[in-house]
Amino acid sequence: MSLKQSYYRYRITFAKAGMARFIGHLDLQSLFQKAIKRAKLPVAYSEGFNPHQLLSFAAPLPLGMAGYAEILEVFMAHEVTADRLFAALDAQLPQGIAIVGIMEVPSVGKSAAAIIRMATYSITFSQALDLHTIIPNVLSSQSIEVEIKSKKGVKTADIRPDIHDICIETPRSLWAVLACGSERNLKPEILAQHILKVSGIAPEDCDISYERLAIGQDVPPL
Amino acid sequence: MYPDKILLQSQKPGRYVGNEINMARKNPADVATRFAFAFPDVYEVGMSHNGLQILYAAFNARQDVYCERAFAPWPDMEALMRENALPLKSLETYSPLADFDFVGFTLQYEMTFTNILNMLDLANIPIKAADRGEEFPIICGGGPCAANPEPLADFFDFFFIGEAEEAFGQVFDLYAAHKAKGGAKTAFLQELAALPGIYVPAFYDVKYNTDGTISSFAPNNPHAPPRVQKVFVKDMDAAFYPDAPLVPLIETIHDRAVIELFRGCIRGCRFCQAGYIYRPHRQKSVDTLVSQAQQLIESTGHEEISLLSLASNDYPHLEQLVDTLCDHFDDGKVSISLPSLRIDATNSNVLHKVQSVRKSGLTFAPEGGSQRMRDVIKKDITRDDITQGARLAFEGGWDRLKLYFMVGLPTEDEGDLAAIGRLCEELVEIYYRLPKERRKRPVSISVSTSCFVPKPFTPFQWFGQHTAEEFMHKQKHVKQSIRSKQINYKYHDAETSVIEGALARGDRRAAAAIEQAWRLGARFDGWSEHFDADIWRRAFDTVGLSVDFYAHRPRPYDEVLPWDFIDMRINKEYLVKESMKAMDVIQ
Ligand code: SF4
Repeated sequence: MSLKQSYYRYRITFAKAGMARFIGHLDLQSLFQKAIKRAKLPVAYSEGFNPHQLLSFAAPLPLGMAGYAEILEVFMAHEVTADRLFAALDAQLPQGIAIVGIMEVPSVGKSAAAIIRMATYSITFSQALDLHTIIPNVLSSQSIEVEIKSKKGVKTADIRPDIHDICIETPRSLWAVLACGSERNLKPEILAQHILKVSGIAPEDCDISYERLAIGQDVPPL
Repeated sequence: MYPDKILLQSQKPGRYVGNEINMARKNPADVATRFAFAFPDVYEVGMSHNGLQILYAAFNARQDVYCERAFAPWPDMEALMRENALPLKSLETYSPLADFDFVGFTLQYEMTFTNILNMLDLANIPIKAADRGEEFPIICGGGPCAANPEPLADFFDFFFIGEAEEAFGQVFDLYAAHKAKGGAKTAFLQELAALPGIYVPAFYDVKYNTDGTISSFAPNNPHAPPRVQKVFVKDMDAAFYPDAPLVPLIETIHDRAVIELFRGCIRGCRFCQAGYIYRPHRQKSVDTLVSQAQQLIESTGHEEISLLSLASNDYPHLEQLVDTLCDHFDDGKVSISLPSLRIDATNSNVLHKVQSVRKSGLTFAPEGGSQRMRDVIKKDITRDDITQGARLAFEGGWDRLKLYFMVGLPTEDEGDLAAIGRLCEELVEIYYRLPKERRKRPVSISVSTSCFVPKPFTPFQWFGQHTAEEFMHKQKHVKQSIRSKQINYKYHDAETSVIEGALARGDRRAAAAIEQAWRLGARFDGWSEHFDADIWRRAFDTVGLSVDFYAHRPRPYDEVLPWDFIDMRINKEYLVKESMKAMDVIQ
């Protein structure tokens, strides 16, 4: 911690959409490292044999999904104004990635990844559903048991505690605030498949697309 | 772009979307010539190839040309494309390849040939030149396999012989003029054929003897010269070099900036095609290299710079260069890698400054196990070089060594194979002679043997290659010669090397076998998980050709070889003399 205290910490909000959706999480990290390097920003490095830039993401975005308010934290060895950071870094990002906000935050304190609790997803179905019946039902249920497939097999889980809110936008689209982060996490696909199931529609008969509108925290950063 | 649904079903959608840093963006309507640079392997391999970076930037430096890229779709993506009738498209503007003026393939390795046919087919372009009318792009190729382009002759309109950097300018000039006039393809190819470094296969006829060998090879068109001369870059300092290479957005084989120390090689090892076809040896000055390195780091943001050449020990100012680079990047955030460095007493200083060596350990490529074997192949490295190098390395704190050998070399016997094991055992002993406190962990020596493939324009171009059985027998021998648990032995697939051998020295008729193998499903033959020897055997059988004829048959010195018409600026008599000298070593 003593090391990081002398550094300057920036929380950068960025959008990743279009062609950039196909850049995976690790690749995104290397992309930002190179962009920071090209921008000649005074980024801070870790100590040790293989020093790397002090840079971390709040919550990995699934491959193929657009995110409009993703969070990256980076430490600088010298102070940089948010304006300069914005101008220098945004110019180095590929099409499909853009900075949408920068905030300097105290250099000590939990990492961005540790404070993320929820995320808002936009979910669009390729056909209209009776969302005005289904969604109030979902929200008024005490528990929703679904089967979740993982590498280890199928297990049942109650996803209701991980659904914070759902708003209907059109008969085929909604946005949902779901648990996100290392403690609790609900993939939007699981909610969407549940909605299809109660609508009586087979998964192969309906295409679903997802976007992550925002990720959010529920405790202050300090 | 391909539809999301398709991309997301593929293993790595990032391979098919482009959008990299420093990608050329132009309006195709604004240029005279659209060129698709086609790399017949997967994206991650192609994007790590320095030749692609050089030509892509050089072509796009011309205002009247827009060079885009296409790579071989991985089999999962191919299946999706075929299922959904999607054509192969460029990464820059997502244009179908059939819309380009040229599709140019880089020919790096024989085992990518089926991918070339597959890419043409996926682009809805007829694979054979004779079946392509005016409406189709002109298909060209270049690279090391163009040293013998004959097995591909049926599929291509023309080849660059030598270094394409030196020839493309005239090709584009000619084409632009030609297009403005609205001339026909054949007329363009005729004018092209007269240029140095250009080979138009349709303008030559080959006749065969009853035994299958070539009786004559001659032009059938007055514009085509009887021999095609290779062209090469004369001044490496003045040569074009990209100042802002492409930086991929997904992980590729190499994630680093590259500078090229020199081309060619001063050594002349007898098995090594690169050593012959890239002659003469031409190097860049330290000043050029340092300024290019700086430029590249700034334009890419890479944190590693790789010093590329066939043998970096032979760069006379290596230490000065490495020192200057270290000074330039003195924040320590740029590491230097020297992929072809061989340790010896003169360069142990350099070693400590080189990151790649720290990470991956040291390598030696003695190629032959015994001194006799190394004399035959003229590999200029002695047992003492290796043992002293290893001692230096161990004393410097390294405990991982890699050694590369070949099996199936001319005149090789069991003694030469046993010598491989013996040499490696000796290195293990040298390590254990170090004082105990300096040995942090057990030493690890990895030995790998490749199977010798005789290549055109080398003194071994007449040699009958081993059969797969012979190779496997020899691999077993090497294995038996290794006892220490510290030595880990790996070997290359013998059957792949035999097919590579058949294609490397094939003639025009071999095209039928390549086409048949592709029709039977051969793809990505250089990848062990995709290579299917049985397909290739069936392919050769079906079209009535024999692997034995092309791969295993020794040729007499006076036989007309399929690539004899190429003037590689190497005297054939010299190769004969070298070949005889090699055989003399046995006495
Ligand atoms: S094997 Fe290496 S040293 Fe020998 S000729 Fe080829 S490139 Fe040069």
